[in-house]
Amino acid sequence: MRIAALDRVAEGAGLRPGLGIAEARAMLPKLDVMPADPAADRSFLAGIADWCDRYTPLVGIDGSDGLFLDITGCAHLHGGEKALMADLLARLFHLGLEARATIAATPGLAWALARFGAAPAHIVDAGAEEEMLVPLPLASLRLPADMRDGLARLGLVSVHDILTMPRAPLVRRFGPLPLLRLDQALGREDEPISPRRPVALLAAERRLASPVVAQDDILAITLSLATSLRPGLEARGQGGRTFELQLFRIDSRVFRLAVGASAPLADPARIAGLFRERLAALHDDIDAGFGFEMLQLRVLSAESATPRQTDLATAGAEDRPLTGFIDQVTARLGPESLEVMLRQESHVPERAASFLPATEAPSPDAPIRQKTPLAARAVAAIGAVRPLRLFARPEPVEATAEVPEGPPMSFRWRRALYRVRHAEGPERIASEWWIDGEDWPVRDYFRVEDVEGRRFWLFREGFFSDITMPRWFLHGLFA
Amino acid sequence: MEGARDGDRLSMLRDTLARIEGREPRFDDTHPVCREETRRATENRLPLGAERFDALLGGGLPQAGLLEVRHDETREAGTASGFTLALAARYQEDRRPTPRRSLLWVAERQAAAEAGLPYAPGLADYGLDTARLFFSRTRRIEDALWVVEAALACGDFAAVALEVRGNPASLGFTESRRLHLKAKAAGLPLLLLRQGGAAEASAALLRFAVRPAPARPRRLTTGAALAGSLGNPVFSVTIEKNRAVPPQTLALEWSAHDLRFHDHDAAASRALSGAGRAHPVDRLPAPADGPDQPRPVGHVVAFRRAS
Repeated sequence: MRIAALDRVAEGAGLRPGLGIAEARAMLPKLDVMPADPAADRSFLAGIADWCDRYTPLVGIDGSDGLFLDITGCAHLHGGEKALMADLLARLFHLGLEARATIAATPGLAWALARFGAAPAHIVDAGAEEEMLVPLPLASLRLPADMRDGLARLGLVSVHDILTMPRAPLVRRFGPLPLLRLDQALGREDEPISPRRPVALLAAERRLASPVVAQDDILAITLSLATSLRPGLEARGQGGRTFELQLFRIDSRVFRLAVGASAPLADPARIAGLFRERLAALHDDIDAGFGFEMLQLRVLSAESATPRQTDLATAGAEDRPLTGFIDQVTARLGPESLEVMLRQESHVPERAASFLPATEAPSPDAPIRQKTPLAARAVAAIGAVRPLRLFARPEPVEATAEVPEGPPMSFRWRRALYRVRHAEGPERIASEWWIDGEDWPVRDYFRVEDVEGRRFWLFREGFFSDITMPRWFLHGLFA
Repeated sequence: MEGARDGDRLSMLRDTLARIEGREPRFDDTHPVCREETRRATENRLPLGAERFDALLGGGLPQAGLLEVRHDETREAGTASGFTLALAARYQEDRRPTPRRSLLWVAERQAAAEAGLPYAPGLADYGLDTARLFFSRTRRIEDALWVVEAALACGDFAAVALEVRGNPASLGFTESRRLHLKAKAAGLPLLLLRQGGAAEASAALLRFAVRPAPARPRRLTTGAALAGSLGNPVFSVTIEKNRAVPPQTLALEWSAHDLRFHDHDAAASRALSGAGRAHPVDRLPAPADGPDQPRPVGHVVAFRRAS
């Protein structure tokens, strides 16, 4: 076991990361050792990244202990760069974190100064980049350790050393990376930050002087946030399809609620209505604690919401209330709770129909919903009928049937015996070899009626032979 | 004079009571005004197509309110869902009030798992517009009731069906009354399909107990029946709760082709499909030269060959 991280007291006693525990105990017998938990560290860092959404929507995670915040265009909202950084560091300090921060024109320079700069906080003025970077060690250029060792063997230890060197021999020996990092830090090369989460198209937020706890207050604020988003959506000619409400709890935990709309939506009351359903569904899962100090409403995806032109024939058949209902149910119970049926082009019964969440389904008048699949027409042409209800998995039954291919005479399903009076069939359904391969057994379907008048859909899987007895299944119920 | 006024008051009181109880007031058909009232009352009903059945229901199904369909055993779920869906198809096809065509089927997840999921090709064969059928599966019955209430509040449906298993405690008389009033206010029919449940007190206007019955044999183009085949489904429906008339059992046949029910004469059907009898044959050959030929009436039974 080796030391992964240590606190300031241990550092003062001369311990270093990478030292064995036994040696460290020998140096400092009262050492308190806890096993490292990288997963917990990662989730803690992700929590802080969520919390940083209050400053900018563009937050990227850097390694195991750093965050990039792209504050372009955001600083003035917090009273300027200096005030923003001071606020950030003060809040982190009150959370019990020791943090270092740098604001610079490039991510590379900010990274270098935040980790290797003299002071815990820097703001690099425009034009001073080179001057700030030059005295730093080469490790500040985010180079791998073996490359740093190779450079050190040549006596190159600080940024100054490679900045003054001719570039061509350096590239020949070490590849493009050292100079790329240098150029990125100095802003000669572009370096994008990849944000953790999709950047919202539009966002509105409200900071509260006193935290809110009540659901009604949250909804009222959501409504006013949605109202302030409306001009933005209208200017783009769009309506939102996915909305996200971020609730920043006073102790820096962040809760996110996402709702989807089945049609582009800009109406504040309906947006707030979706969140009302969502909150009602999970009121126990959100612990308001001492309250939320900030709420942020983001539009994650939007679509153009050109008002549809209605013709005279369909006027009045406006499906607005129906979309409202779909959204309401989906927001509260999830997309799987309300589905529509889609008929598919397949002969295999369980593939001939599928369920699709109603929010994602095309309109009922769309050709894909209206047309009867060719496979279904073929079934109708031979006069076969399909059951009203189909079991998700065919249920095995014990059947007595005429050998080799006759209809069942009686069968036992769910421990009850049924005597067949009439049977129609067989309807042979073979495998779809292009999906199932050639080995899938052929099914012979029978439509049977028992003596009481119950009608079932049974099938025999495979054929009789000397060695195998085919199995029987009950697949559906008729009216 | 005095007596006539008393009669008026009595009928007015009866009328008020009928309105409170939610049934149509009954009128004396001899008077023209009353006949007009009766006609208007039946106009508000949705006829099922089967005359005897419609007469028992006072002209057909109500356009709004809670209707309950139940069956005794889960294995009869196919029959009961068939009857419920046939009612839904009638409502979907009925365009008198407003051209609403969407249907909603709300089921408790367990009920849907126990009796199978609705199957689109089968439903389309059965006469339903599956492109406008929404299916909702919820984990808890409370959620199912909430979905139903939201649908009634939305109001843009031809009919809403709710499928529950047995007699859950969370759907008692109070809840059924609540649903009934909401459905009535929304002007929507709400069909409650009770899977394998006993009859219990509910606010439903009508309650049907459905039992399976042998299907009608398929008809050949000649009009003859194909013995041993399974044609239109037949239901044995007991109207268990009906304010107008005492409980009665009738056999109904659903014809998906013309989207209507027919009164089913069980005895005649047995005669047609019964084993041991000769095949009934038509008196006349099938009309070959046009659709406007008169249909042959009745059947003759071929005698057994003597040898």
